[in-house]
Amino acid sequence: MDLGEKISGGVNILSVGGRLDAYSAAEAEKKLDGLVAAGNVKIILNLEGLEYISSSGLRVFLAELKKVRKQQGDIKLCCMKPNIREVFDIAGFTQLFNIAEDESAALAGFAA
Amino acid sequence: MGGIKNGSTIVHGLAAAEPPALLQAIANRLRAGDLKDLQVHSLLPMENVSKSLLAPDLSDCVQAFSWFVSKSSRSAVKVGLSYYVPNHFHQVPRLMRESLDIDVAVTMVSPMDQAGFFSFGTANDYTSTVARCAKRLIVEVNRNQPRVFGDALLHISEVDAIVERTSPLIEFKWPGPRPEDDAIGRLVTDLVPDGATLQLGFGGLPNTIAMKLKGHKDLGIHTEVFGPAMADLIKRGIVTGRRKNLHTGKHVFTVVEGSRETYRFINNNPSMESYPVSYTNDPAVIAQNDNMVSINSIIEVDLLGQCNSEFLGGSEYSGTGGQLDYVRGAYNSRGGKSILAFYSTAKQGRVSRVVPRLESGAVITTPRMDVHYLVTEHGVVNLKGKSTRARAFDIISIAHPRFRDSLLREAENMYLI
Repeated sequence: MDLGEKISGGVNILSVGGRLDAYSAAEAEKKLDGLVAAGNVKIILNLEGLEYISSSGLRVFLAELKKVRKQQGDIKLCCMKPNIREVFDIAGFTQLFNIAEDESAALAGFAA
Repeated sequence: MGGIKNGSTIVHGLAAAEPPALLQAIANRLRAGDLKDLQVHSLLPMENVSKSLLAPDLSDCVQAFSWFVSKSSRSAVKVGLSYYVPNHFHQVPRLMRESLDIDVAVTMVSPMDQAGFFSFGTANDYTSTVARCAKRLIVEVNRNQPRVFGDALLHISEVDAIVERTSPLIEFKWPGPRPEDDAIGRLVTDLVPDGATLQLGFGGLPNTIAMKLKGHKDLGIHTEVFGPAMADLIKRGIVTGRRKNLHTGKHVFTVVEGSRETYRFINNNPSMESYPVSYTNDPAVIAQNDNMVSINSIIEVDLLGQCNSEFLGGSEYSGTGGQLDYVRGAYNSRGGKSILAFYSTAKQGRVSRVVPRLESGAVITTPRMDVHYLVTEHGVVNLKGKSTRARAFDIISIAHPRFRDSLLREAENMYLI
């Protein structure tokens, strides 16, 4: 799994690439936990490079979503490949997350 | 609900015995952050648990296990948010007792009688076993849950906590009839002699077949799932149970999946007897009734006679359930028959359900050694004692005519014929 980070307009944008599976989920969780612990509760996950997500990855995203929403923040997802979008659909996660087409739309969601 | 702690293993009552108030109360604690890391075991999870503990927003704090996959759990199983537990239904009570360390069992029961007994109502199955091996048993008493006879009672001294709530029971609806039903119904009912004891599987086709049993006499019922069509056969006097060797005059089941009318019919009805699934589905018990006929459905069969009834599109679609229990029990009964019925095609006729080979990774529910009668709208074949060559010809003979030539070519390529 590859993780990249940048900040735009007070929003932390984390790009997640490769495979987010049982082996890499802990790393993603640690990264997100670190952001939340530092008070960064407006997060965009850019999933453009994500090839595969397992149930472990889904659970990490959901647990982190709950943490940030408790602090009036949000995690917005963007740039999902069709196969990743399908997994979110099947899991019922598209109803839980705000999902945008691209980063600018996700950023606009925070501005709204 | 204070007995439920982080990491608890919970088993809940099956189908119409899913206790909505208790399940919702646990879900509320999870949503409040008061609980986490629960292990929840379901078999055929229905709406009460899918709207509470199995809701997507709780999948980070619930590890779900589905011992028979339903519409409610199919998606979660497909993406690994719920795990299927392979089993023969008759072994589930033992498997749960021996392989799970159950902290809490929750189920719905009928109101207590004067002697202090509740009834397990629509769900005896494994529920009666886990109720007694869980560290803590919590029941939701519902006036709509029918009181049933047999070995289905639970004394108040066995219960740790009680919640009273009256709510409608889950009702089951079957798909509407299909044009092929008449032909399949006629072929199957011709195989059922007067005086036979019936088991009808879960699903639309077995239910439809039951409705075609009109001219029969003195049929009996020893089944896993009791449904509306069976209640109708009793009401019409077609099922009397008079010629059963075991439980003569009684209609034996372990689960009820029906309508409000079905639940009303079994309530306080002394002719209806409910037993744990370890008894109703034990092949040795099933075989004790002469002329036992089991009728179940499958998804597909290959040219070797291997039947897949549970795996579709690369993942677990339903489960083994009690199919093999009854396939084996019925065949071992004197004069008994196991019938596996299916439509010859799927997807508006575009796909044959008779396939040369099962898809790579698919599972076999009923192995070829066990398959007795196969029925489609195009015919009936008996595979017992037949060579691989004879089986291939027989199986192709009940495929849709449009697919028979290509199936014959594949059978040749496989050196079966």
